[in-house]
Amino acid sequence: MANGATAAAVPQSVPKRMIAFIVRWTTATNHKDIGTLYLCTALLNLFLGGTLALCIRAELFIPGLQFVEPNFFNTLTTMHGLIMLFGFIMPVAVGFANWLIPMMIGAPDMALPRLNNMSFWLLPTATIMLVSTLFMDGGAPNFGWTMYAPLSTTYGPPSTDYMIFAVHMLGISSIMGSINIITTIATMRAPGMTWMKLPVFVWTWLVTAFLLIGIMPVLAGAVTMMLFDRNFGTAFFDAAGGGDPLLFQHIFWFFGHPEVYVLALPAFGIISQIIPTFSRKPLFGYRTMVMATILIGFLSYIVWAHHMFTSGMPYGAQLYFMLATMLIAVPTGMKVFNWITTMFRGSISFETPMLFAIAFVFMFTFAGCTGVMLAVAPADFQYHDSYFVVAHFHYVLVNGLTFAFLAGAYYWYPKFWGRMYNERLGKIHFWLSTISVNVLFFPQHFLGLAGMPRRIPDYALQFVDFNFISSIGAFVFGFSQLIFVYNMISSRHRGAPASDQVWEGAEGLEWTLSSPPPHHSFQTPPRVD
Amino acid sequence: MTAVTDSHARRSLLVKLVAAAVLMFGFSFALVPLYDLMCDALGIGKIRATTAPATAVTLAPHTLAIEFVTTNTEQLDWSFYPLVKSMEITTAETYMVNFYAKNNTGHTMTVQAIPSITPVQGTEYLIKTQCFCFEQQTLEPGESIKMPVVFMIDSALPEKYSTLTLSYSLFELKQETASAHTPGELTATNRGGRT
Repeated sequence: MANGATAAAVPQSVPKRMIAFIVRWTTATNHKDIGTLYLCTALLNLFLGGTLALCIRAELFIPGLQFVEPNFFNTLTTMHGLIMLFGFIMPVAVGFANWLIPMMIGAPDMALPRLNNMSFWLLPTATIMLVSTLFMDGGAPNFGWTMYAPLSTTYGPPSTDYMIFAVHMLGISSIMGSINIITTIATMRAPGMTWMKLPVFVWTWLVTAFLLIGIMPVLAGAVTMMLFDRNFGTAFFDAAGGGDPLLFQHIFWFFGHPEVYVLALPAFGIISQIIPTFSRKPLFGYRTMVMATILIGFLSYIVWAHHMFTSGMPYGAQLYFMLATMLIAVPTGMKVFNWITTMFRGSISFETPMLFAIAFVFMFTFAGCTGVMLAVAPADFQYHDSYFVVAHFHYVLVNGLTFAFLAGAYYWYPKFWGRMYNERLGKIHFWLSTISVNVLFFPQHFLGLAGMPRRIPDYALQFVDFNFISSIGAFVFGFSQLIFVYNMISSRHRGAPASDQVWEGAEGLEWTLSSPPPHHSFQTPPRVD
Repeated sequence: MTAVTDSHARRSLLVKLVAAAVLMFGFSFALVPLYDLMCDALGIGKIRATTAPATAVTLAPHTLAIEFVTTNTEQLDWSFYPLVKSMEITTAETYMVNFYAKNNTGHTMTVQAIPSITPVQGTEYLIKTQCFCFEQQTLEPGESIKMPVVFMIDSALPEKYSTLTLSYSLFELKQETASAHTPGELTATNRGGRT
C-alpha cells in the first residue's frame, strides 16, 4: 500500500489526506490495489449478508413470529442470498484473482488495468443500490434470490426494478473482470510459462472466466425480460399473453447452474495451491486436475433443469438431467482423489491454511454427496424446496467455499502484507468455525427430511429442537468470524515479518517475489523452465 | 511460448470476448423461441398437446338409470323428497329434476343439503351445472320450496355402472354455523371432482 504514488505524499492536513486517500483508491488501477478493494468489499458484504442470516436464525430460534413480519422474512432470505452470492463469494474470488494471477504467471500487472478499476467500482455501486431497496416503500424484493416469475413480475414490489438494474451492473462488472482475466492469462505469461505449467488456480480462473462470459449475459437477458414484463407490457413469462412462467426457470437456471461452478472452481484452485505446500509434495495428477476443471466447466452448462424436477418435466428429460448431473460427480471426485493423494505420505504440517483446506475437502465432499442425492429425480420430489436443499447448498457455499477462501486468506496473507498472522488466533478461529458451522447446518438436513420447507418464518412444533440447535450454531459461527477480522487487522503491523517464501513447501512464482511484493509484480519477466 | 505483449493480439482477443458476451445476451432471447421449438421437435412438455386429443375424442353416448334418494338428519322436522324417484337417461344430455322441501316447524330455519353419489366411482362423471346443494335454504315456518338440480353424465362413464344413485342429506345450520360458513365455502369443500 505504501507504494502508491499519492500515498507517498508528505502528511498534510486531515482533509487533504482524506482527499488523497479517496483519490488514491477510486483511481486505483494496480492489480494489488484492485484486489485489496475486492477483498475488503467482499468482507464487508460477508458481514452484511451474515447479519441478515442471523436475523433469519433469530426468527427461527423458536416457533411463532418473534421479530419480523413474514413478508420481511422473505426479503431477508432474498437479500441474504443476493448479497452473499454477488457481493461476497464472487468478489472474494475476483479479489484473489487480481492479486495472484499476475504474480503467478510472471506479469507486471493485469492486461487491462483501467477496465479493472471500472469493473470493481460497479460492484459497490450495485451493492448499495441493492441494499437501498430494504428502505423503500413496499419493501425489498421478497421472492427469493431465484427471482421466479410471476413472483418477480406480476407480484414483485416496486423495488424489483432497482434490483434488476443492480443485477445488470453486477453482470457487466463480472463480464469485464472475466475479459480482463482471460486477456491477462492469454497474453501476459512469462517466457517459458506454457499452458500446462500454469498453476491450477490460474487454470480454474481461466475456466471460470469463460463460464462467466457465457452465463452473465444470459442472466442479464432474463432480468431484462423481467423488466419488460413488468414495465413495457410484454408477456415473456405471462401465460395470459402467450408466454410461459417455466421459461423463466429454464433461462435462470441456464445461468444459475454454471454459476455454482463459477463460485466453486476458484475455491478448488486455492485448495490445489495450499495442499501441496503443506504436504511438501507436488500436486498429484496436475494434468487430470486441469482436465477435470475443463470438464466441470463444460458439464455445468448442460444440467440446469435438475433444479426443476418438480416443474412437470417429461420423464425423458428428467432422466437425462438426472444422469448428466450425476456425471459431474466424476470430475469432481477426481479432484477430491487428487487432493487426498497429494496428502498421502506427505510430511504434512497443520498450519491454519492447511486446517481450513482439509476441512474444506471433508465438508465439500459431504456436500457433494447430498448433491448426488438431490440429483436423483424421484428422491428430489421429497427434498425439493425443503431445508435439506438449504443444508446441501450451505455445506457447498459455507463449509466448502467460504472455508477455502478463508484458507486462501491465511495462506497468502504473509505474502500480501509481509507480516505473519497470529497462528494461535487462526487456530482458535478454525476450531470455533468448524464446530459451529456443523452445529449450524448439519441439523438442517434432518429438518428437511422431516418436511420443513425452506423460506418460512414459522414452523410446526416437531421442528423446534433442530432449529434451536441450528440457531445456536449460527450465532457462534457468525461471531467467531470477528476473530478472523481482528487477526487480519492486528497482524498488519504487529505480526512477525514474513520471509519471501513464507511457507517451507511453497512453490510458484509468487513466492519468488519479496513479501510484500513490489507494486508492479514482475518488472522484467522471469524465465520459467 | 514467449510472452505476447503485442497490443494487436490483445485487442483482437478483447474484441472476440466482448463479441462472445454480446452473443450470449442475444442467445438468452433466442432461448424464448428455441424453448418452444425444442418442445415441439421432441414432442415433450406441451400440456395442451397431450390433453387436446382427450377432449376431442367423442365417446358414444349410452343410457343408464339414475335414482334420487333423500335423508333427513338430526330429527329434522322437514319434508324433503325428490319429485322423481328414478329415470332412464342418456349420457351427454342435460336433465333437470326438482326436489321438494317444506319447513314443518314453528320457526325460521336454514338448511344445507350435502350430496353423495353411489357408486363413488361415478362422482367425477357427474357434471352439475346447477344444484340447490351449492347454496343454503332458509324457509319461514310452514313455507315450502321446489329446488332444481341441472346435471349431465359424462359419456366417459364406464358402462358397467348401469345405475347411479344421487343422494342428498339435509342438515340444519345452527345460527353461528350459518354465519361462520358462507355458502361458497361449503359448496367448495363438498364439491368433489367435477360435480
